[in-house]
Amino acid sequence: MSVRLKFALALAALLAYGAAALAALIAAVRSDLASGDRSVLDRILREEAALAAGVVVLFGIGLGVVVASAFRLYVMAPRRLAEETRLIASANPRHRVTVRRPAELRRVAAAVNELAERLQDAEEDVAAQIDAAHADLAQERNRLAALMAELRLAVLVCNDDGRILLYNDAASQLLHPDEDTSGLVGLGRSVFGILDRSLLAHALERLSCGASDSAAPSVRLTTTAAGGQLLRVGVASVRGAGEELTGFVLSLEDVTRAAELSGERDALLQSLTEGARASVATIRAAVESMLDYPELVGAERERFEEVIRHEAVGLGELVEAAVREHAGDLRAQWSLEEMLGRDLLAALRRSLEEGLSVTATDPPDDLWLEVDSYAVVQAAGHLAEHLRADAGVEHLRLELRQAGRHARLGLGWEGQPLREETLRAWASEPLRRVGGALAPTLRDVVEDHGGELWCEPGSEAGGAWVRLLLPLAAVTPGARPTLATPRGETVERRPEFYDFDLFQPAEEAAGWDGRRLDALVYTVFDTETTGLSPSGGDEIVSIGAVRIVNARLLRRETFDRLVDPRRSVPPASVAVHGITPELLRGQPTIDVVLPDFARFAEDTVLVGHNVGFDLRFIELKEAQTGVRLRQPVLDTLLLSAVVHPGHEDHSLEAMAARLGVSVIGRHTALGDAILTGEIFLGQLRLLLAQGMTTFGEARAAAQRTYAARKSESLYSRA
Amino acid sequence: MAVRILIVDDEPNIVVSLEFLMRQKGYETQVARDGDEALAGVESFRPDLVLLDVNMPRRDGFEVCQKLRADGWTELKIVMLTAKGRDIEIEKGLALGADAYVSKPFSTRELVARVADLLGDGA
Repeated sequence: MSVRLKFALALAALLAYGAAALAALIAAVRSDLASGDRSVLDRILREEAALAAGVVVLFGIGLGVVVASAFRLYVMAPRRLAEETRLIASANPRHRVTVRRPAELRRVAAAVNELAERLQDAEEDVAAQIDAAHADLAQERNRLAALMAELRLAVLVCNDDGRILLYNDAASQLLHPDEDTSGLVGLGRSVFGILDRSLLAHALERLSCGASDSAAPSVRLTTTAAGGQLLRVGVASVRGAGEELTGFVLSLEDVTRAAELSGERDALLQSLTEGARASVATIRAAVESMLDYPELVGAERERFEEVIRHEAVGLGELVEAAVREHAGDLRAQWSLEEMLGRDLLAALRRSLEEGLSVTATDPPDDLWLEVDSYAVVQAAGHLAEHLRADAGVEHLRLELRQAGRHARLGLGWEGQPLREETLRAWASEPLRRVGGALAPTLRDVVEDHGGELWCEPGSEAGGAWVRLLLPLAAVTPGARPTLATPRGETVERRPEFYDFDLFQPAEEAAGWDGRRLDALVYTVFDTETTGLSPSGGDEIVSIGAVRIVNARLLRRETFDRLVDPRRSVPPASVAVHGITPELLRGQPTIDVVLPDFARFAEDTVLVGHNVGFDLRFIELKEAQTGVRLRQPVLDTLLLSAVVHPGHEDHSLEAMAARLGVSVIGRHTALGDAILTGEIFLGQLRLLLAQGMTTFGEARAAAQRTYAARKSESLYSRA
Repeated sequence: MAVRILIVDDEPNIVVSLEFLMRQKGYETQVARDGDEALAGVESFRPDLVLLDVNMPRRDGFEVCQKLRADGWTELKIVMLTAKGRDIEIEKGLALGADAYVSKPFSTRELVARVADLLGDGA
């Protein structure tokens, strides 16, 4: 019912009540009068009817005004107060109610305003806390992003649906080797577009299903990426407040090259040890035969002598060949993950139970293996599938126990043992693996583990077992080095340059010699030139430099300038550095740029790769520019010979590969300077690890290799 | 009847010594150069003991060993010789039924003693 209608009804009721009261009064008075008086009253009423009506109307109006006023004060005002209070509570805590009359309601309004005040304070407090939390979160996220950007390891952070929340440059470079695959890595995209879903599911299951006392904080797996690279993937879970899985962090390494190297090394080692053992065995048997039977003469003795000579020559050749092949590289350790035997068996059981009934014998609690669990589960699944389909096996026994210095996994069934050929055929088939382009065979899995596989009859009648020997975990799991894969680029090679004596200004260096290597400030620089002959008229076209402070490369503190060489730029050199004559037009000349560079490099140690080449150019400009670089110099090429004396190749690419520095942006002066700087930081760590802590020690070591390489270079030129 | 020994190895140089040593001990010998010859040799020559090299083309020593045991040659003594020194192969060899497993290089005296021991006339 509307307010107006209520008001009208109330007023009408009052009026009706008044009229009824008046009528009742008149009727009561009239009935008490004598008939003469009654006729007088009737006459008066008749004669004064107009007056009476006027009075009644006036009364009605007066009543209406009073009721309306009361209505406004005691009905409308509380209603408005209620509305405004609701407004404060729900929409605008800054609103204040105002009531002038009546006084009672004014006091209520004051109380409401007081409450509003409290509410507003509380809400502002909460808002401030939320803002602060947001700011903290933003800071954490920025810190994390900065940290991830610095990481050479590719990192992806995903939520539990596999959507990418955060990724770093390394990840996008690793997964976008070419244009075709670009766009796979992006915020909000699914990581399953990049990595096999079943593989990740296996990893996440392991993260959540490991025996509680050994639940792995992270799992390592190997898989192939869309681009065909072999990836080593680390998966770590991210858990919410209730320990539930809310996401995961993936770290990715390209181990294609490392795996190849590891395979080559294994093959080499095997051929070397097997070949040598065989030859030594033959020689020893022949020698011992001759010693034990001194009465041997003539043709028989000569036969033994010939065997010894032949085998000795063969052994020599074997060693020579091995040395030739071994002049390779730092070998990456192919790493398997450590896993509790119980967990492996549980994973196997879960996987095999999909098609068969399985009884498993629990392995001892302290049995730790070193395995690629995914591959082993796949391999066992492959065997089980064949046993089911080809041999009609329905029930499998599963056991895992220690056998000597290995773990022996057994798959047993009631029936005939497999023939060697059958097992061999199964072992050479690729494993059924979802999405894997380069699916390994069962034999690959066995070989990757350095294991063995065979089938034998069981001890009980009518049973058979397939046995798989797997490596046990080492007692102390050590850190395993890995190699980043450098991006291949064909590069023109500068000759090693010995016309500039790096170590001449010894008196200048005297003050630096005692200082700690990691406390010095370095300027790492590189130049691009019109050609390879500084004294033959070639000129600098670009200088790039970057600073290293406290053993950190400061990518924002750089020097990057083009130089007008005041001569033509041969197309051959444009092909190397891409700086065309048009780019150089209008650029400053060397007598402007070089003094600027000298100021940038002031009071720092100069670092460069084959730096004599660059310094010779600068030295030849001394008369023209007045610049003489007096500071000490370190050459990453010479340092490479110090820290990697066993290697022949000290090119930037080779050094970068050894030190795990990724090669991008080569052949701009600044790009090469940054690459050189990263390599130098790697060398710095190695020097410190070798106990060379001062600048003087590093300089002396470099000088020794310098002398050696210089004389070698002179001889080879002669 | 003289004790018979089948020597299985694809390296003629080591065969020279093995054959010589076994003959010096008065054993009758025959040589096989790969796994198939070895299986045929066991059938025809019926040796008491086989000196079996692991690394051979086509059919390797493990396979020969397993086949011999599967074919019912349970009394036949099998001594495996290998240049693979890893214990994982020793475990496999013994699991497949070899009586002894000798890594190269070996001492000839020890090998001869081991053979004599297995043939039960050493003591």
